[in-house]
Amino acid sequence: MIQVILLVLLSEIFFTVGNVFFKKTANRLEARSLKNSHQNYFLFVGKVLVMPSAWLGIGSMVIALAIWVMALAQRDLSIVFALGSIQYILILFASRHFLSEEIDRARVTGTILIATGICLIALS
Amino acid sequence: MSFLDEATLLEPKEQENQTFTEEKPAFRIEIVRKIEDIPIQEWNGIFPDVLENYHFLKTLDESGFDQFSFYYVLVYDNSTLVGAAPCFLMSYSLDTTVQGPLKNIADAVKKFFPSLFTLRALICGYPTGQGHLGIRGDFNRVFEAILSGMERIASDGKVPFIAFKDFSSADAERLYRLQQKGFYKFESFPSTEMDIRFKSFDHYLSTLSGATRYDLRRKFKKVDGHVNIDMEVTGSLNEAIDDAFGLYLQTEARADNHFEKIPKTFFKKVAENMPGETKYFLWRINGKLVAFTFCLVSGEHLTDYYLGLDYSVAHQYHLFFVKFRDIMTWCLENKIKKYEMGSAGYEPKKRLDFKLIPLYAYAKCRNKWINPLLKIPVALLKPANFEEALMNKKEKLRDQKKLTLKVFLAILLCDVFDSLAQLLMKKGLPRTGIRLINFQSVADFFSHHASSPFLHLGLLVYASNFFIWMMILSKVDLSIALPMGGSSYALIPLLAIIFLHESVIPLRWLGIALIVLGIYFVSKSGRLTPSNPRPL
Repeated sequence: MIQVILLVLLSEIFFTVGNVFFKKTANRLEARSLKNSHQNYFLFVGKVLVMPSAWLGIGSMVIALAIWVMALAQRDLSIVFALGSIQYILILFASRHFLSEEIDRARVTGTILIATGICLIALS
Repeated sequence: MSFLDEATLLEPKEQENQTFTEEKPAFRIEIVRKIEDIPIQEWNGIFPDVLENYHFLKTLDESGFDQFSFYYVLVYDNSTLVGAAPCFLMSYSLDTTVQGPLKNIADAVKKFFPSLFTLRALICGYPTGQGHLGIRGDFNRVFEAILSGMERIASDGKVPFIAFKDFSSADAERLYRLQQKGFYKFESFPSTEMDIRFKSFDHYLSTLSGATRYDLRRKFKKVDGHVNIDMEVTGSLNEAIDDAFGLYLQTEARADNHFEKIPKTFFKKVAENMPGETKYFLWRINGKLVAFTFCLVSGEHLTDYYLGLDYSVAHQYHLFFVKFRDIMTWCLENKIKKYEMGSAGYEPKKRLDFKLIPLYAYAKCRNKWINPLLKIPVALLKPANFEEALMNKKEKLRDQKKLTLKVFLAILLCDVFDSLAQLLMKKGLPRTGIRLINFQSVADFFSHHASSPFLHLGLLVYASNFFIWMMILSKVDLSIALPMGGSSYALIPLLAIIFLHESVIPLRWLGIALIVLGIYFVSKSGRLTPSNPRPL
């Protein structure tokens, strides 16, 4: 059991780090280039793939996924998913500290409710 | 000790008395309705460097604006003019948008309260652009007199609003007193200008960013190879006035933040009154007028006021940029050092490297109960709320944070894909797992199962998901996007209930309810007004 918890926690930490890198990449993209998403889709893909921060994000995501897969292989899905909702809390802290997003009370309340709801659904 | 105290107490009193006696020969305030009643030298003398001088105001007077009537506040110290302010009364009818049965009600109310339906404001400045004040000597004292002159006009005409339109930041520094008198200060649409310190148009192009330069060269190449556009520079429009005015109206109808609507007479009168300064630039294709610009040139300064484009060909021939190139070339030939281009269409102007010159306005309602309510429109009237090009970086990011339905659907899609990928992977992996976490066992685990097709498919779905996720992240905060993704956990059981008639235990209902509530909260947090953030 303790092993599953550790695996999930480790996976979610890498997941959070990866997402922070993704968001940093996205913030650097010009919003204008996304307007005609049809024509600009390939341009967009190209723009993303030349950014080192995107690759750092992909790297941590791959690690997160690998650990997650190990966790999945150990137990049935429900307990792993329930534990996985810790990612919402981690993301909340990470976006505040590393991305300086304005986290207000409504966002914290909403996130905690969602995380609790997912826990309940996963366990039921 | 007590003697000293008395002395220090007395001193300021004496000073006060002195200033009081100095103020005694009060200024004489005169209000004139026609600029022609003021001697030219007097008016132009107090506005030495202002392009919109006596003759410009005379033109405005004679143009017959529907929505403006003009006043001139003059302040005399004995018989010398020490202060002058051009003002205009604007009446803007508010009921034009009401139709149907509402119109009848509106008409009835209008009969009794006509003032409710026209917004009337006495504005100091020019309807056409930046405002100027003519003041000699003690600024604050003369300004006070001008203000009382404006108050007099407003109270005589029962005008509820007084405003100062488009003053430079240097003027704004001196106008701080207005805020003490109940005026609200707000940012107006900035003016744009460029210092011309280039040897040639090519030299100018070389100073631009690579992308803009390439884009401009491509545009000009396309136009030059395609069509012959003739330019003419003239002091008056003559018989072209009807065509030119038609083009002006076309352009005017497309601009949403134009303050003034120029009557046709203006374009004729300005050429008569200011023959030295007026320059009309006309562009023709096969003899047909396709673009025109009205400029005033004074010394080394060119002000590009009004533009008219034929929109049936404007985009095809990039007329805006052709016009810019030709005027710029003309400026270089005529040793013009400053090119000013008014306030509209900021996006292309910013790319052409025009500087934004901030302008400020002040407004007040004379009814002291209504005046505090002005705070609301003043907060909303930020130019950046109208023009994306005027947003600063922070505001742009804030704008990005808004959660739209499109983004929400993309998040849902992303999460459904994510669940799909996980299911595929789960299928691709046996239930054996690993016992020990060390490098060897992890490597073994992956080399063992790497050939599973389900695993590969799962990874592919993950990869395509990555780009959707990046697009979402470029639109909203991470701390909004991620919890929103949790909605798929509620959506999938809900769909199962609705379409598969799956029975659901109460605990799962509770979970769904919590997620829905949580999403409501998170989406509410995305809609924070910029002026009212509630950081934790």
